Amino acid sequence: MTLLKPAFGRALGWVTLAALVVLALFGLWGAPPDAVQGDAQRLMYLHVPAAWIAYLAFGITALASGLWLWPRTRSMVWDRVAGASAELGVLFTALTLVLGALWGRPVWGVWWAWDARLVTTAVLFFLYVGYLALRQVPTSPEARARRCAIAALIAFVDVPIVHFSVTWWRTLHQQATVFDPSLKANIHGVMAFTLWFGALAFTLLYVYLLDRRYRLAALEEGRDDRELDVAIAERVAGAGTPEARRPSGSVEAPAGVSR
Amino acid sequence: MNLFQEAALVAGKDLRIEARARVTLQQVLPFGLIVLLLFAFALDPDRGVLRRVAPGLFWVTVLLAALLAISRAYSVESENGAIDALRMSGLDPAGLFLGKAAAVAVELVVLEAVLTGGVVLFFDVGIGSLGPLVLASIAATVGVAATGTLYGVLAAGLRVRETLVPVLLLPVVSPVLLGATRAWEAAIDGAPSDAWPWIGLLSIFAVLYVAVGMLAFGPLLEEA
Amino acid sequence: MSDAGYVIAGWALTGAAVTAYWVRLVRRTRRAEATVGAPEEVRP
Repeated sequence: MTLLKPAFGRALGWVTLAALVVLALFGLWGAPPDAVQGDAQRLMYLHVPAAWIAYLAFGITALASGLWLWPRTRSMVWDRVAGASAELGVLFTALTLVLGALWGRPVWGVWWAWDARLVTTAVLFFLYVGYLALRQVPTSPEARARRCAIAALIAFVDVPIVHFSVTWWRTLHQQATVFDPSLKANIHGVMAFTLWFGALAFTLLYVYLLDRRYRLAALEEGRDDRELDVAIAERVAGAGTPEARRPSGSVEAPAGVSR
Repeated sequence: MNLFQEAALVAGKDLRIEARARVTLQQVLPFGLIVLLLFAFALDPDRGVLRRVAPGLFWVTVLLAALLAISRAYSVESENGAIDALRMSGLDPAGLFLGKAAAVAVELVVLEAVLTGGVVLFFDVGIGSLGPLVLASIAATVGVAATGTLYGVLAAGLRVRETLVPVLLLPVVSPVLLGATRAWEAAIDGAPSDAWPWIGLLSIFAVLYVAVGMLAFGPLLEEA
Repeated sequence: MSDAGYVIAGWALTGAAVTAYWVRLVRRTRRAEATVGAPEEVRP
């Protein structure tokens, strides 16, 4: 019912919180402002880790989908992981894009640039959104798991193609922009540490949230099953007496019913 | 019957249905032409602008029309439980997939031919090198048809099929739009050597998604 | 808006988004735990 032992999960939550606080201290104060970008560069300590998690989450969704599809490893655990990771992926991808815009505006004067990495991230966002839309369609858990697993792999296989084609496209159209989100080459010392620490803190956050989301998914599936059992029991009990028959609207719709 | 014979059988069936119903001809084709027209309204019909953006507009239009063609490919199956008949027919799902995708591809090629005429006439586009143009178009069309047929069957049994397929398909085929547009630009500008790398990309995409489709069509058909 | 404005906005937004998502998870989990509990007892 959970990925991590409950006590460990709780502890991880606290550790994550502490790590994020430390990250904020370093990112907002401890690390010096950049020579060229000034304080605006402090957004990089969030933007890059968020992007890392966005792609990690996508990879985990694809991996879990593959494990579900493979008969020898098939288990609803993987379906729940895939779904939970995708939800986190949407969150972090959206954050990546917004933070990128907030970073780009003061530094390069534009809210958006058609840089290969940003564009690929935008496509990734829409791939996630489509996957989540598919997950919302009311259907049996088994059917949903199969459809979503295949959809995830179709999308996963596409990402390298998207990345490659967009990168190629943008290099051909090399503008005067010196837009280079990967400033890892230019940073060192406290700034490098902060960046890596940010990646660590966000990874802890991802694992913690994944575990919680997984737990929720397991609980909701369990609830749906129990509601179904209760409804069936009621119907069976009331079947002999027409007066006792309840209108079908008395059964609460399962959690998955929403479009 | 081998795989290709089965595919030809299914493709033939779909195309025969289309020949009788003429939906692609009477509805999807006009839709494509209308979209081109609307682009002219939306953008400055100053010939220079339209000519420059014509490849992009063309391929966006083809993609939108493809959504309709794919939707149509599966709506013919949902009537009278035809999809159950397909599932139980004993035909190899890979062959079924190839057949359906081929039919969609043929319809799209017909559409593209007419739209190309439209673009040449109304957007004042001159076709420089026809060879790369045609090759790029075929590779792109196969890729879109394969991916679309795959998502079509994935959503086949669902009531939300018609709104779901676009949101699933379009991000995935964005590299096709990219590549096809760049290849066309190169072909039109008379720099065909620039088109070949993009044709390569389009071909890889097409081969990949035909393969994925052949693998995934069976399991998805079971759920439909 | 000064540079600091963008930075604060970005960090605040990130904090708010993550916190809001976490709160949503906690709420939904509590609700699910509540409904799971009762029928468990009722069933023989």
